[in-house]
Amino acid sequence: MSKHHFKEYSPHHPDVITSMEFERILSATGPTGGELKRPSDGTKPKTIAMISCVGSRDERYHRYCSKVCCMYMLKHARILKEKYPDIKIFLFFIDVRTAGKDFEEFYVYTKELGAKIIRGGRVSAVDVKPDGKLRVRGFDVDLCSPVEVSVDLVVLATAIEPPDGVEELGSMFTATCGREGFLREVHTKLYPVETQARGVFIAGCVQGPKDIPESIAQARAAAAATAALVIPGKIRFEAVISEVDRDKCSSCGVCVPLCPYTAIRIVEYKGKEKAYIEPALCAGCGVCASACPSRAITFHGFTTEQIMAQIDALTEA
Amino acid sequence: MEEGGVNVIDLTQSDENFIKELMELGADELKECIQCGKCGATCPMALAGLEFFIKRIVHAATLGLRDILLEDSSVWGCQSCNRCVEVCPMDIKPYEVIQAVRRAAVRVESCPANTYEGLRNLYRFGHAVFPKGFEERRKKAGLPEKPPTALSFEEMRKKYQEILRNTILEEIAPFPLT
Amino acid sequence: MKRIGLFLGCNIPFNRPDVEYSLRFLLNALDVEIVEMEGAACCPAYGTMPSLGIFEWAVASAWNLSIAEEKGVDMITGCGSCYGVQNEANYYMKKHPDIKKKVDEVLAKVGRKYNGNVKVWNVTNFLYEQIGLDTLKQKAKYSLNGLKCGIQTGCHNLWPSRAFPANEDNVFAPKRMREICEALGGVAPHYSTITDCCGMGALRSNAPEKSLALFKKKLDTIKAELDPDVNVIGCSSCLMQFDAGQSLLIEQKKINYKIPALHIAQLVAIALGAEVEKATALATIPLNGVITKIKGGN
Ligand code: SF4
Ligand code: SF4
Repeated sequence: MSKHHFKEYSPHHPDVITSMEFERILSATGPTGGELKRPSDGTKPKTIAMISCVGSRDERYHRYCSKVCCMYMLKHARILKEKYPDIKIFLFFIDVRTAGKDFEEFYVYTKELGAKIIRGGRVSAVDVKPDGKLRVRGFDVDLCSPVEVSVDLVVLATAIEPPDGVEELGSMFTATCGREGFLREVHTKLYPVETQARGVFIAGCVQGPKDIPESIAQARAAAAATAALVIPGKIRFEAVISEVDRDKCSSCGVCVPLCPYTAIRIVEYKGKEKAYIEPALCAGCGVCASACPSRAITFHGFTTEQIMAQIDALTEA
Repeated sequence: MEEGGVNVIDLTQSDENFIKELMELGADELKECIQCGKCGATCPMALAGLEFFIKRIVHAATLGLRDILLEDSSVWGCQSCNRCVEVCPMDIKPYEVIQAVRRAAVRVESCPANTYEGLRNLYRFGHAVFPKGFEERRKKAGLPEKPPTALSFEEMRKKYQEILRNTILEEIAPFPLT
Repeated sequence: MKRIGLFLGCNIPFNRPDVEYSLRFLLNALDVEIVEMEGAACCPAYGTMPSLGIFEWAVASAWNLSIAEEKGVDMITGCGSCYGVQNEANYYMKKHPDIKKKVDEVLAKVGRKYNGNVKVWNVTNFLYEQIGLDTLKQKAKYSLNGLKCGIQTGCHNLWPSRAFPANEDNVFAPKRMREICEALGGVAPHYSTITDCCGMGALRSNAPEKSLALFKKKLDTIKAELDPDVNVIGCSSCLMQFDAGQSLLIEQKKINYKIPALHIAQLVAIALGAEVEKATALATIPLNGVITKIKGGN
C-alpha cells in the first residue's frame, strides 16, 4: 500500500517511508548498497520509529490483519540492532502478533537487543518539526498514557493488498474473490487450495496475506492436488449432477447464465439449438434444474418424482 | 473510586443493558472498537491528563461499567474536537460514545452543575453562554446593546422554548420550563 | 450580489463582539449582503442539547437552519463550535431520516420547517471558496507587510471532515488560513503542533488548570518554532484562550512572553480598512506592534 493514503502520518515527508522501501534500503542490492541512509539527506538515522497496522485492521482500508508485519518489523529491528547497536528503535504495535513456532522467541530476542516495544499504541500523528525531525505520537497501554518520540526516520508497515486485476483473473476461470479482494478458496479448513473452478488451485498471497513458510506449504499442497487430478489420466465426475432432457428443452437459454460454473452451453441437437451440461464442469448445485421453465433438467438424485414422493411421505405423517 | 479505596475494578458489574442503552443513545458502533489506541494518542483529554479519556471510556463502555462511567466526570471534559472521529480506523465515532455516556448520565442526574447552567441559559435567553456585562462590551465594538438573535425577538424566543419543551429537556430539567 | 446569513452564536456577540464588528465589516467590504438571522439561538453548544440526545441536538440546530432557509441564504460563523455543531446536525439529519422526521414534526408545531438546504460556512472556507484569494488581495487596503502569523485553525473547523461542506486537502496539515495570510502579504509557516487543541471548551470549564497547561504546551511550541508577531485564530473560542487565556498564564507567571492574538476575521477586516479600535476592542494583549506593522507599511 502507498503511504499517501495516511495523511495523519505526514506522507509528503521523504523520511516517512514504507516497510517495502525500508527493506530495499537494508538490502545489499538496494539503492544505498545496504548502507543505512535516510532519504532526505543521506545521513544515518539515530532514532527510528516503526508503525504497525497501517491500513490493516482498518475499516477505511482493510479490515484484515496483514499477518506478517509484526514479524518483519521485529526482523528489521533485529537486523538494525545487530548491525548498529547504538540506533534507538521504537516499535509501535496495537498487539504484537507472534503466533507460531519460534516467533515468540524472536520477539523476546529482539527486545533483548534493545528495541523498544510500545503496545496498544496505534500511532495517531506524525508531525514534521522545523529541525527536520519527525514527532511520532502514539499511545502506550502499559504506561496508560499518550507518548511521543522525535525520530529521524519513520517506517510504516503498510497493509498487504491483493494486486490489481485479481478479480479479472478469477473471472476468467469462474474463481471468485472474497469481500477483501483476495481469491476465495472453497473451504477454509477442508479445501484450502481449491477454487470454485475444478482443476484451478491457488497458493500464496493471492488467497490472503501470509508469510513465506505458509506460502510454500500452500504451494506444495496445490501442486499435490494438481498431481492427484492429472496423474490417473482420467477425470471422475460427481455422481450428483444435472442433465438436460434435450427433447423437452425449449431452447429458452434461461439456465445458461445462471450456472456458476459455466457448465451449460447451447449446442445443436437434431437440427435445433438445445442446452447441454458439460458433466466435467457441473458441480451439482441444482440451480439450473430449479430454474428451467420446461422442467427439462433433471438433477440426479433429486428428480421430480423423488421430491414429490418425499413431500407425500412428509405430509402423510 | 473512593478516596483510600482499593484499586481494583470488579468486572462482574459488567452490564449488557448499559451497553445497549449507550448504543441507542448514539454509540451505535461501540462494540467494534479494537482498542488500538489511536484515539487516545492525540485526544486532548488524554494529553491534559484526565483520568478517564477516550480510549479508556470506550473500553469501559464496551465492558458495560455503568457506575464507573456515570460517577466519573471526565466525559464532561471532552472538547468535542472530533479528532478521535477523524482518526478512528474502525469508524466507531468515539466521540459519540462520550456523548452517549453524557446522555445516560443526565438521565440519572449525574452531571456537573454547570451543565444545568448552560441548559438554563439556553432555555431562558436562547444562548447557552450568556455572560454578564455584554452590553458594555458590545458598545466598545460599536454595536447595539443586544444582538439580533433570539434575545431580541421575544416571539421567536417563545417558539424556540416550545421546541425545547418538546425534547427530553422537559423531563430532566431541574428548573421550571415556563 | 452575494448574500449570507450572519450566524452569531454566543461567544462572539457577548464575549468578543469585536469579532462581530469585524465580520460585519469584512462582509460589507467584500460586497456581501449580510442577512440578519433574526431569532437565531445558540448553535446549541456541545455540552447542552447534543449531550441530551441526537434528536435534541438536531432539532435545536434545525431551528437556526430553518431561519436561514426561510431567508434563502447559507450561514457564516466565526465560531468553531457553531460551525461544527450545525454541520454535524445537518449531517445527522441526512443520515437518519427518522430523526429528521421527528425534527420536522416538532418544527411544524411552531409553524416552521427545514428542508435541509442550508450550508454553514466558517470564515476561512468562505473567504477561500466564495470570495477567492485574488479578490481578497485586490480589495485589501493594507498589506500585512511580512507580518509573521502563527496559525490556529481550531479543531471544529477541521474535524469530523465528513460532516463539512468544504475543507482542507489535508486536514492534518491545514493550509487555507496560511494562504489567506500570505495573500494579504504576511508569512504564515507551518509548525509541528498546528492541529493541536488549545484547551478551550469543556476542558476549560471542567478542568481549568489542565486546560491551561495544554494551552501552554501549544503556545511554547509556537514560540519556540515560529516566534510569530501575532497568532491568527480561526475560531472565537480558541481566540479567547489565545488572548484572555494567555493573559491568565502571564498573570500566573507561567510564561514570560506575550504573543498578541487576532481572529482571522479581525485580521482580514483590518487589512480591508476596518476601524482598529472597534475591530480589536476586547483584546487583552496589546496589538500596537501588529497594527503599526500593518499600517506603517502603507
Ligand atoms: S481509535 Fe477507534 S478502534 Fe481504536 S481504540 Fe479508539 S475507538 Fe477503539
Ligand atoms: S472529541 Fe473528545 S474524546 Fe474525542 S479526541 Fe476530542 S476531546 Fe478526546
